[in-house]
Amino acid sequence: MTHTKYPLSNTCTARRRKCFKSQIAVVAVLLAIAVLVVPAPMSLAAPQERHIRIEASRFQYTPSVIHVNPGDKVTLDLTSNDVVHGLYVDDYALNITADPGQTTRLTFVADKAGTFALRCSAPCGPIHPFMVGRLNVGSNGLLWRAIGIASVVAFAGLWWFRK
Amino acid sequence: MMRYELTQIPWLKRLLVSRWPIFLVRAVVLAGFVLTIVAGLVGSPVGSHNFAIIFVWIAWWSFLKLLAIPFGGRAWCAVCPIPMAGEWMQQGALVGRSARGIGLNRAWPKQFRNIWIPTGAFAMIGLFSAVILTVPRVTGWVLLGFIAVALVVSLVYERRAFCRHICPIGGFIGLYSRLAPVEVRVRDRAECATHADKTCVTGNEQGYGCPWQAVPLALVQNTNCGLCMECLRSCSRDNIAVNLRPFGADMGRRAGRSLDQAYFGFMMLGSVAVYSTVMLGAWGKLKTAAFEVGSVAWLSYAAVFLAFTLGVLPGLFLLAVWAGRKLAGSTLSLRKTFIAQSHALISLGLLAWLAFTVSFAFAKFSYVWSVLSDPFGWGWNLFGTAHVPWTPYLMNLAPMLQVLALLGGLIWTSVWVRRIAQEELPEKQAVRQSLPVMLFCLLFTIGMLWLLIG
Amino acid sequence: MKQEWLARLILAVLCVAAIAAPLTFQAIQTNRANAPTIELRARLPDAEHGGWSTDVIKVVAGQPIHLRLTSDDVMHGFAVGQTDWPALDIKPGEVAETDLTFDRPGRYTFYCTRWCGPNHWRMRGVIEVRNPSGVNGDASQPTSEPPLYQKLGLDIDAMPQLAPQAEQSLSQLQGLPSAERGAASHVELPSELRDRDWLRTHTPAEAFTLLRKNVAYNDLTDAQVWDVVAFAWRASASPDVLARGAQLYARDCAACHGETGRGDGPAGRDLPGLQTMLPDAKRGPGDLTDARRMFALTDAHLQGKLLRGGMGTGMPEFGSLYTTDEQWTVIAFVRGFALEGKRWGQRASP
Repeated sequence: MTHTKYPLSNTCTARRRKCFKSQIAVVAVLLAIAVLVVPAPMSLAAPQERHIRIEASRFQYTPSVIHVNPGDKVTLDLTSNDVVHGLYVDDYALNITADPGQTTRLTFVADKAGTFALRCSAPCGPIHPFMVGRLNVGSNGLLWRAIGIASVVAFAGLWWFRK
Repeated sequence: MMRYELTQIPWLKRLLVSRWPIFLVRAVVLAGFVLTIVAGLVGSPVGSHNFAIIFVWIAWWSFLKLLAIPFGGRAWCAVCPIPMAGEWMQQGALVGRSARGIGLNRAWPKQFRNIWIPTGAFAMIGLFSAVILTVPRVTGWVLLGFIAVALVVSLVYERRAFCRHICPIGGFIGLYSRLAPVEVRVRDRAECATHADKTCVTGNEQGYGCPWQAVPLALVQNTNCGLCMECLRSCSRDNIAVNLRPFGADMGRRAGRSLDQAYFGFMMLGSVAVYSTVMLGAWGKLKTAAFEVGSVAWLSYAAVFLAFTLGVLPGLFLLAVWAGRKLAGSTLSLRKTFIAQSHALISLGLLAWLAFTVSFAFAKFSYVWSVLSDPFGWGWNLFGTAHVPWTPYLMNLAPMLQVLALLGGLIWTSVWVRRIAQEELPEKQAVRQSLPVMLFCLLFTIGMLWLLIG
Repeated sequence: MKQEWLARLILAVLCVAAIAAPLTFQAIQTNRANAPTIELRARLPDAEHGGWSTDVIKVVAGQPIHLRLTSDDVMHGFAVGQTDWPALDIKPGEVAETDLTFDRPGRYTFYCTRWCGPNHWRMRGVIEVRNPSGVNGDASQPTSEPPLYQKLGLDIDAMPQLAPQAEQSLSQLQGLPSAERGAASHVELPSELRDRDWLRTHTPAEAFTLLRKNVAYNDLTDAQVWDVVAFAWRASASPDVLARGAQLYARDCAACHGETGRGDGPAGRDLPGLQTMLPDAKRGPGDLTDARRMFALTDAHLQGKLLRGGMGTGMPEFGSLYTTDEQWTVIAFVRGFALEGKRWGQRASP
């Protein structure tokens, strides 16, 4: 059996296919819009004060992931277990360092929602550039929306683009 | 297909055909490479203050992944310093056309005329990446090793055998150059048919035969073309042109699709996932395991890395292709379908690496300023920027850019998964064939999304 | 052909420059200083290597030396003991430069001032300063007074017990004494408790016993008497001294003894501690908040421990690092842990 390409032709079947294609396109676009605009689940908790102790060692933070709610007043107590380490909060652009046996305190209001990296800002050895932790403020809206849209386009893409 | 010929612009053509401009660029790049090796070997052991680490793994790597490959394909290969010494010796001249050079010019062994060695080499880099990327001395020795191997191979074997069949960087640059918007192609096939000499292959007084052992008159896809412009010089009919074209133009070309190329693609996909987990994730134990080469933890890391990139990932894809075949009721060879469909993952891979590089580059780019003023970490301050503090740049934009890259790669791949399936199957069956494959791509994308922005 | 040779020349010049230029430039840089230049590389010390690239530096008194300090891995610091030069931070991959001139001949210890791991205390070296006359005099410190504990004939390895009266009152005490309450009570201190020398040579328990014996304080409860004792010790050091003590403690002691003095610092976890003397004792650095132990020790005894270090306990010696003033300063601060459970000299903090 020979295998040949089956190009789109101008038959009635083709027109029906085109109609089907545009239906799929409409559904997909609506789904994508829905994913984009559906508001993130509102955090019902009132902003609270959080006091978190972070221990830095070579080459991680303990705890490595911190969850807070948007609007929380967050106090981080950074201390080190071995050498001088630092803590830089992405996007908030806050920076502190701590020596072993000493605690450095950072207080801020988590007004930006999302997921932010905590990076070590005092060179502490070879893996220093990869010493990271995570700060989750609220739910990660971008991640869920991206996953939603990916799920839509992965399959919609099969139908959409024609040569 | 839409093409815009760049070489129709006279001054551009002169620039590309003349040997001096490209030589000067190459000479500067080579000197920079020498400086990098010196910095790595004798400069400060602190990676963030060493020119070797910052310029190789941050500046050059980002340039390669974000600009050179997506927009230029194998353009870097045209100026790469690693094969330079060898090639100049083989050719016998830097800016002339010499009659003969040094070298045995042996044919590259037939069983290695593929990219299995580059796949293995890239795996090696992956196993030692935590040490290579952070310890300047190791980077220095690795680069020196590359030059040494390239030199020896060039003195024994023909032309750019190193670049085509050993270099791991060349492996993925070649694979991803199918997507690039630049190409070197013959203008008019009919002209070649009447040309008995085929000087693009044999060479003449103006130019050497293609150093990449491609056949320029029959070149239909970018993987093995190093953009060296030699064929522009040697074609006595002036029938070769450099064109701008849409992205992804070579994806539909069946030429060059093979199992080794497919496997390199999986090595790339697997590597970006592992690097995103180990280097960018918050799990410190994984990082120390990857760094302490020789320890039990490292052996476990190595085993998992190899199993995942060479076993699990291709295995899952094989399962998806098999399921697709079943769904579509296809009787085509599983092996051929697997190979063909694997090549649709090229766009997924390039954009996943782009997304990964965004984290890397934006977070660490500010080291470039201090390292320019104090490349060796010796207390210099050449341009006054030695004490510019480290700050991540644009981290508020980075997640969105990464999402766009990953989604873009997913959409683009979905197009090619179907089109490649449609090369052999009618449309309805092709779509059915593609469904499990797209599920694989979706799961990979979700995984990358979670690792990079979760 | 001429073009080819030009091209080769350009290539050769560029590549040779890539190697020669940095090395030449560096040679020029390091020889620019007028004074003899000494390069010190700091790296993480371990059991075999002290951490400094040079352990002994020989200089001539009165002659300035130029120091170039760099770190190969983490943040270190540099200071010279028994001098009042401020400590210098050494950032990894960067070079810190300073000029020093030693006026008096002798033997000085230089040490790391940013905690760099469990072996940080090993990171010390010696600067031998000799007379310019060239006479190779004795490179030891000019004869100084023997420390107080030696003058008193104290055995600093002994574990003195509290007198029964003090012991009993402590066991009935709710919490720790408070210097603030002692100050607020406006009780007048007896002359002994206002005498720094007396305070240094007597234990807090002895001070308690003294007050209990004195009929003028009969209307005070035991707890209130302890408050007065706490107040007496705190008042013997000015706020500036206590602040300096807090700084020295944070820099040199807290990593092992803990921020709150409990002996729970990250660097001290594996040290033998008192277990070398008492097999049943807990491992690790001494608990400076332990009233039963601390109130039975004099300041002179603590000074002895500080000066000499522990024999196998893991406590380093600070005799070569601290001037006598600094020793009393840190001890004055450390008293706050047991006498009030607070870090005297610091604002309320974690």
